Amino acid sequence: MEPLIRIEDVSHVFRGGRRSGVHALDAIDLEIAENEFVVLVGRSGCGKSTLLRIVAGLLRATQGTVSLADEVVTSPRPDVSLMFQRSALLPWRSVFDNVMLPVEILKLDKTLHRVKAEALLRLTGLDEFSESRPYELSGGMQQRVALCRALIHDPDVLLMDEPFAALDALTREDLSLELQRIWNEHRKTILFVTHSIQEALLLADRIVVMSPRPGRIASILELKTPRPRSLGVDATDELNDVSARLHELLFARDLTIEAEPAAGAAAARDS
Amino acid sequence: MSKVTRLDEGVGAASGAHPPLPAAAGEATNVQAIVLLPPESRLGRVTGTVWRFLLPVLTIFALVGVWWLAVLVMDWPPYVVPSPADVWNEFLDKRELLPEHVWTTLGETLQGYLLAIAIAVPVAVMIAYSRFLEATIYPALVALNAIPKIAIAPIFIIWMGFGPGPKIAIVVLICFFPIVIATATGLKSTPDELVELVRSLSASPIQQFFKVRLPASLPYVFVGLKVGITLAVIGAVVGEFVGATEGSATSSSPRVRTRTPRSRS
Ligand SMILES: Nc1ncnc2c1ncn2[C@@H]1O[C@H](COP(=O)(O)OP(=O)(O)OP(=O)(O)O)[C@@H](O)[C@H]1O
Ligand SMILES: [Mg+2]
Repeated sequence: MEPLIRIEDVSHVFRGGRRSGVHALDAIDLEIAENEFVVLVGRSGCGKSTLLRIVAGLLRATQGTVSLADEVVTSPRPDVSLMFQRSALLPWRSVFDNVMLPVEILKLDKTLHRVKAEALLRLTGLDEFSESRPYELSGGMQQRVALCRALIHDPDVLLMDEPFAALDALTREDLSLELQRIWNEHRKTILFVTHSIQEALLLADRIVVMSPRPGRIASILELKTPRPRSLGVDATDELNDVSARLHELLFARDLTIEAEPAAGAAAARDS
Repeated sequence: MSKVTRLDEGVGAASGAHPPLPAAAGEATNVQAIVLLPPESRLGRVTGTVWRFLLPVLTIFALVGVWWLAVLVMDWPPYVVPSPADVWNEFLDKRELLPEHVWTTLGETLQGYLLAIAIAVPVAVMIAYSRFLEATIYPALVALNAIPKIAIAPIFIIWMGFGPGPKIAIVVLICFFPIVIATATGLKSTPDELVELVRSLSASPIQQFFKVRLPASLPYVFVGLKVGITLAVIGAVVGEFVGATEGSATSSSPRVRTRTPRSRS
């Protein structure tokens, strides 16, 4: 099938205070099919957010191109939606008006989307809070509002940068399940960054593991286990295998470093 | 080393030495929600409003009481520290003088204040949006603000005569700066994620300004306006001290002057 998002040979160097600059991404090649759920994992600082911002058109890669439905991405597009670690809600607007922000900015039909906003708030269990202010909500509820806002204009692509990272483990699992459910109802192409192996296992069709400095794709793991998935006792063999592989890939670098001074490695094992 | 033992070490590391990877969660509790939420109950809200009006009034009464008590206890002569009663009687004596002069001062204050806002806000927008203007106008403004306004008040009188003009000019000058600084700071401190959000929705610069930057800056702007209005009153009074025929400062300044040796001779 023709891929929806095509990332070709993308490299990015941040020119900043340091003379050499920060080589954040190096020759990233990735194709994402329509309605595919791709999860990016990798250590802090390996360029996940940078890649996401390039795909979103917020940042121009120093080299290479990103194309979406065969068009080269040069600036933000209305059919792509972003969600961040912090909910980025406007504190002076009610929940409902926050959800309607994209409709106002993109000048879409208001009456039609009011109905949609109500439906989305109901879907995420927030219908009672539509007139509340963001600060009256818990962190998890705020992220739900941000999710509604990201979905209101029915984008084809959803880019999510650690959307649940600021939440406690329980809320986070709730929201991953909810995202699974929503994704089952309205299929979208999703590129999702996370630090949580669990989240990756629950959500992904493919898990892209990145390695740092410069950011490269270290490995791509496919998951075929049908949804809804669950971890723990009823996890499938495939999920267990991939989980093991992920641990191995993400900690591999550390093991080689710790293996050099024998005492250090022993201490790390004991702790 | 076999794969299995490496895997075990990996898991051990995950639970022990490397907390950031599996769960960096739980650190972002919502402080704002805790601090900003007032204790909510219908009764609580009503008494809350009453208290909000009552407390400042009570505070003023208490302060006047302390003043009166101090005068009684310390037995200062009334020309050094008059008691609240003396002040009140004097006020009743001269009450036909006041409205006109207060009106003049109020007019100067408000005109100057509004003019200052009208100039300061656009200047702040320019400073916030242009690196070049920030590098040029901003230092000039800081330097200008370092000049004591009271010292240059007489020059305004020379330039503009004894009408309301110089007083308004002094008001503008004195409250312009805090409004510019506060507004520019507010406009520049829009949280990055909000800017990124509207950018990702391909908002036009105008939409960006009115939907996000301006509302986000309002808390700062109001701090500036608040500081500005108190300074505006000071500015008007200073203007009148230096050279005025009417306004509230004239009704207090002649008495000061009659006690200076020069005006007696
Ligand atoms: N605006 C910037 N200016 C300069 N360097 C930057 C900038 N943004 C990111 N970097 C650098 O690029 C590299 C990748 O950053 P990025 O934010 O993409 O990492 P990440 O994988 O998202 O990390 P995390 O998991 O911690 O969010 C880092 O080394 C960082 O220092
Ligand atoms: Mg990041």
